Amino acid sequence: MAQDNLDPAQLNVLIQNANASWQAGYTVLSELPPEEQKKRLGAVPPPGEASLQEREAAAAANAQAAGITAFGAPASFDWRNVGGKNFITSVRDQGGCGSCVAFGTTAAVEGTFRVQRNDPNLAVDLSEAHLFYCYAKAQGRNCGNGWWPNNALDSYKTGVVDEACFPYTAGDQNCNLCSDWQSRLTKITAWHAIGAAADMKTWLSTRGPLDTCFTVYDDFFSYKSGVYKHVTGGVAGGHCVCCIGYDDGQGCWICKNSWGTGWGDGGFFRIAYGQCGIDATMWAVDGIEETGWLNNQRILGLWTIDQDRNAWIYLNTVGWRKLSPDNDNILLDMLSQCIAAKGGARPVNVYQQQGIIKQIYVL
Amino acid sequence: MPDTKPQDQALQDTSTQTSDASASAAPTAQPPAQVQAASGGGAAAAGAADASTTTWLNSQKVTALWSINENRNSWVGLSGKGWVKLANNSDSAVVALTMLASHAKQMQTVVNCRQESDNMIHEIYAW
Repeated sequence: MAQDNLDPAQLNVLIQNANASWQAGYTVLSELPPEEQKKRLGAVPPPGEASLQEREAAAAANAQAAGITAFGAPASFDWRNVGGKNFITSVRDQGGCGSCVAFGTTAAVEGTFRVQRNDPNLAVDLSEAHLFYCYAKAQGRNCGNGWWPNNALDSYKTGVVDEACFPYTAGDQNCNLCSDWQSRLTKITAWHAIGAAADMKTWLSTRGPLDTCFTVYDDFFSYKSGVYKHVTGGVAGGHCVCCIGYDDGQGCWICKNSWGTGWGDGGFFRIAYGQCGIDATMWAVDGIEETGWLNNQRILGLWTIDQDRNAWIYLNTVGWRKLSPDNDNILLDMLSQCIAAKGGARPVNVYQQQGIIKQIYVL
Repeated sequence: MPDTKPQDQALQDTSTQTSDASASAAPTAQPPAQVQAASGGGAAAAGAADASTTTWLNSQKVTALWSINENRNSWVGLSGKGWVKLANNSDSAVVALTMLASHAKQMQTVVNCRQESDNMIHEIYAW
């Protein structure tokens, strides 16, 4: 163990004395020298954004002033178990590089993609290397000076390739994309920040995981399980993770970290509401832009409502998709053909542009 | 002059123009075979709408259809409910609603319909 690291046994005593409800232990991070630990922290607010200290104060004040209640949202939610389905991609390891923003943001995008498709098995693994060693690097960011979610999410609007096109390894490097990278981009439609905890819960329980950042204190490296609250140790730095759920009974958020499965609770952790700035602001991915052909689909359902040109079809692999509302006859022509396909149990090939169906073949 | 309605049915036509000016809506229910007991994933079943004037008529068979040479006057006969008028606030909406009801009638598949206080059907899932 490094000389300056916290001893887990002593730390557990301090946790008990503080009436906190988490357990410390040896982890892959707790055993590293402090300078190596700090390399895993790379959430650095840019000018104009709230500092880490301001985020901590805002989160604590919000939690203390009004409690955190979400009207209409369930008392607990975890995207790892939604009716037995796990929508969260596997825990990654950023290694000795302050690229956590790329990992937290990518985890939120991947989870949102699976939720949007309503497919927990959707094969999606996006390149943190593209995000960090290309986009962040172009903005002067590197393993040593970190990044911020606003910038990472803006980059996702331009597009990020799959992991196989540019596999991640820790350490500053050139932007080395595969030859056909331009045809392998996944883009998001938009993103927005959420400031109210109740809105975070509503989003989490209906739309997908969230991107968030917080202040890491030295004791966090030794987290094994339970609901983390800062007990001892100084500030190590800022960190970005993906929030995948919450539990009002325990008063905590549930998050996916990017320090491998040898840290925390299999790579995940719970952190109390209002702690360390975790819920000062979170970032939501509005949707994944899906443009291209979907072939050999089956129409399983139809939907319409008392609004002009608003009709949807349910495709067996991607769920609901809206028919082009460009004008009355386009909408009604498409709906007629979809009805024929559904009635005859015939396959369809559809072209979608940002999730809107613009062309249909009934085969 | 009020709209004509299908004969031999007791259902009172209290239809009025709805004031639905909300943003474009989207479906939330899943096909019956994919509905899960647990909530989440946008997998809410039809019927989750929370309004005292809203009634979801779920798993209905379309037993009859009716229309006449009057603008936006199309009705659907539902099993266990009788004649119900389709929302008449938009040309494209009433045609789309009629198309879904016609499909369900032809295929004898089930529909989930949202009926509002004006007694009209304002939303249809056709499975």
